[in-house]
Amino acid sequence: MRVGKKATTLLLLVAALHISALFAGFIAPYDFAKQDRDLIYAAPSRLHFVDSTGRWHWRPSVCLLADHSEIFGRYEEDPQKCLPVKLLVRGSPYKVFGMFSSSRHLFGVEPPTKIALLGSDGYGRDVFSRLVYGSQLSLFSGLLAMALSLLFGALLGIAAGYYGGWLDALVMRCLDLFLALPWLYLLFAIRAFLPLHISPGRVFVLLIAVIGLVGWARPARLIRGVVLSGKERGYVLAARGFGASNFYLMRRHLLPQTYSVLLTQAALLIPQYILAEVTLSFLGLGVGEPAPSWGNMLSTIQQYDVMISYWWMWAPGFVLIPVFFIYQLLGSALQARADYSV
Amino acid sequence: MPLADKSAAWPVLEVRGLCKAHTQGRWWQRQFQVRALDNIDLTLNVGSTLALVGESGAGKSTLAMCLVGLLEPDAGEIVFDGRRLGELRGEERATLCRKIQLIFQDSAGALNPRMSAAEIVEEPLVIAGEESRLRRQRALRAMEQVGLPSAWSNRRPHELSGGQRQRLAIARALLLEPKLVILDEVLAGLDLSIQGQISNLLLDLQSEHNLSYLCISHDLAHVGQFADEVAVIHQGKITGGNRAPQAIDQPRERVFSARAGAGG
Amino acid sequence: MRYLGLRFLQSCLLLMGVSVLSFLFVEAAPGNFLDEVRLNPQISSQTLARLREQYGMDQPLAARYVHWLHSVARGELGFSFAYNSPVAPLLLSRARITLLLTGSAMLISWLIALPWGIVTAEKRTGWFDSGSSFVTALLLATPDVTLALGLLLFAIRTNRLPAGGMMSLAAENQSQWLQIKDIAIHLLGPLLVLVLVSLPTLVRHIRAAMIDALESPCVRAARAHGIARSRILLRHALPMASNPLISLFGLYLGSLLSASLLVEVVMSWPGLGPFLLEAILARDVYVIIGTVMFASLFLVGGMLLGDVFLFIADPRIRTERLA
Repeated sequence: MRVGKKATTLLLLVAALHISALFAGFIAPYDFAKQDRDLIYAAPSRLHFVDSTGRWHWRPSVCLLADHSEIFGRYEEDPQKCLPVKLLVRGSPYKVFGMFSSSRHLFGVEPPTKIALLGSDGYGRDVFSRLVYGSQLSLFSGLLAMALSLLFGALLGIAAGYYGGWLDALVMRCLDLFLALPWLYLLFAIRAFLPLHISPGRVFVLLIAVIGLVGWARPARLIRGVVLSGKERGYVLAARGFGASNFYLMRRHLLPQTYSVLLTQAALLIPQYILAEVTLSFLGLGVGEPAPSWGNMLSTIQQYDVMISYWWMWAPGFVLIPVFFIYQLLGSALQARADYSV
Repeated sequence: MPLADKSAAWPVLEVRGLCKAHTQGRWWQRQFQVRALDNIDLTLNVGSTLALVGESGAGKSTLAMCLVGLLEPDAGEIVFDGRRLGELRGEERATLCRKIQLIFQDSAGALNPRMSAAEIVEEPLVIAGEESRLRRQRALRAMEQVGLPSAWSNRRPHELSGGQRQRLAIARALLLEPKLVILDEVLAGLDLSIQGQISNLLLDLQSEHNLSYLCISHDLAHVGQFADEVAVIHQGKITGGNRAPQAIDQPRERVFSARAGAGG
Repeated sequence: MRYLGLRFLQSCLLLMGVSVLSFLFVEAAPGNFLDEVRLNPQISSQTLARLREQYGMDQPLAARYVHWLHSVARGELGFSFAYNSPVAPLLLSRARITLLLTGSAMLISWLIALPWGIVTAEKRTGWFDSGSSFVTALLLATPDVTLALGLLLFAIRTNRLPAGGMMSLAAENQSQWLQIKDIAIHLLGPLLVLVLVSLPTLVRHIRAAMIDALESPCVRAARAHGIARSRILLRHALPMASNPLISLFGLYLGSLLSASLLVEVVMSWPGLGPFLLEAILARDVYVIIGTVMFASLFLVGGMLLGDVFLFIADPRIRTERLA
């Protein structure tokens, strides 16, 4: 189906975002769980384009931070240990898609110097790396939960709209029920009754399942509406006259009518679901340590000294803004398109 | 063409006592019925054209839907090609129903805007399970028959004019080789010259394939030209049986029916 | 009137359905919280015995549900293991606080969003409209977590707003008026965050509804008759737009309640939000069910209120009769 130039570029952007999230191991210079007790809450590395002799280089250098002063947390650069930043370096090994191992990273610096573009957190872990790994979790939980919601919602919506009768009445009542609860409360309630401390992998799957299943109601209602009006169209009646089976009608004629609704709903739901995962992790109900989620990275800000002094820890809160912006633009582009399309 | 020219005149369609009522109102409210069809009797002879004329809401479209099998009548029987439709089930009924085709008034609504012309025309064969090469050939042949060049096979409905869309619908209806074609207000909304073209096309197809037509219209002028007989339907009832087109004077007819209805 | 009565009945049935749903989730929970309760040394054996008798602890789910319904009728709404008291009084005090926040947020955001939406619908070009759509887009893209934390930072840094909580410690002994002022200034922070969070969608919807109304044939006819612009806006377009907007009300209330949950937790506003979170971490089952029911009550009540408004505002609904 045609979505228009604007929507297509935005879709490509979204796809690029997700693909780079998949290559988190490559983009992030360090492992997300690697601690460094010497560099707790260290500020981001300064990139020096001018070396000690005053010459300008295209390739920036980074200096190692050392805890010289008596005041805890005050780091000074060690001028002896300034090394240039290199591209495509060898670093710690990681796995792509959990299958291929590699140890090439996009950029890095030779040890013992560390390049910390966004500083380090309370355990000395590189915030930039954690941010990149965290994107995998947060972005994909949104995407997968959306897929689940839409699958479930579309199935029930089409069945209810097409068959009508008691099935429709039943689905509508369930729909009303799910819409009668504020979604975050419902999410919390469901999460409450599941084990609180389980492995990050399991939590990820659990979160997707819960977030996805909570949100089936709105798309289901919209799709049911489309099917209700769609099944009375002339060509559907004509196909029935040719002896088409119910399944054929739903697959060939009704399902394509839902595509634009599905796509628009997808663009609207994904940011909500990403936010749901971030909120749950922020409050300790989602992904836990040491797995990085933008949510649980943000939760450390609730401590007074972190909030005041370590501005780089705010990064997860701000990286969401451009992501949501893109999805927003995508949503309105698709919506505008849907209003004019057939 | 007057009736006298047809040598073998036997009824391809007989409708006896057909009744259909729509109920309105939700289950907790007082329900009342609207009688869409009230004891309809019709006869259509093979190879001829019966026009069914009546004002909007008289029950014409309901009758068409019952004949094609899209609606179940409450009472009465439909005898098509000598077989009682009500008695048949499943595969037999489906096969027989394929021989009755319905062409809608709204050509744009009757064609899936996402499908190409060829795909639209060959759809009946897709549903019937024909092989893809054969059905494409037959579809293109049907398009040529109705005067649409096969080069247009990839065009979408919105790229065609109203008259061309109607031709496409006719081509599609012909594909299953029907015996009875119900034309539901097919000329409405088309310019006069296009109406003439479509009427001529329908007449040609009728003599070529020995089709029987049931033309539904609210305007006698549309169908008066090529109908052999006319039946007037008013508030679900047929008034006065089959008559020759010349005998119908529409405005008088409405007054007559109203008086008849009121008088009992 | 029968229409309203029907809607009321539907709402009650809905709430019952919600309670059943919540109970089903309890059943789906792996691990038996009852064992945890039994092991908890803080709960006396008498309490345990009373719990077993009143809430049917050892009985199957259906029996427990009936017991819970009885406790609702008694006005108790279940028993909190963490607080060692019936749920209802705890819930009511917290619910009032949430209502204060949510209610004022709703009032203020509609007060701001209505004129904003109407003005941008009128003047569809120019710097005001593009500026406003940029601002709304930015606000929409900012997660409420970031906004809430940002406001906390602002409060700490500038010392103008209290950094969370509802009352200062010193306020307890002061006069009534000073106490109210104290609460009000504590309310400002969470209120601001909630308003900022809900403004963008509200403004967009109002703008869209007004544009639809302004471009409708009846308004165009009114303009052709030469009726003054302001009169058209207020007497023709706005009533026409009010139908979709009132329907929006229920939707908006749901998202407001969800947003308030997070804001309350982050800014330590002692409403239903932190209460629910505590209960989840403490596996205090009846509190969880009670809180969810309450939130649902707010939402369903709000939707019913919306239906009443719609009934009053839209004559088509009043005279809807099937032919």
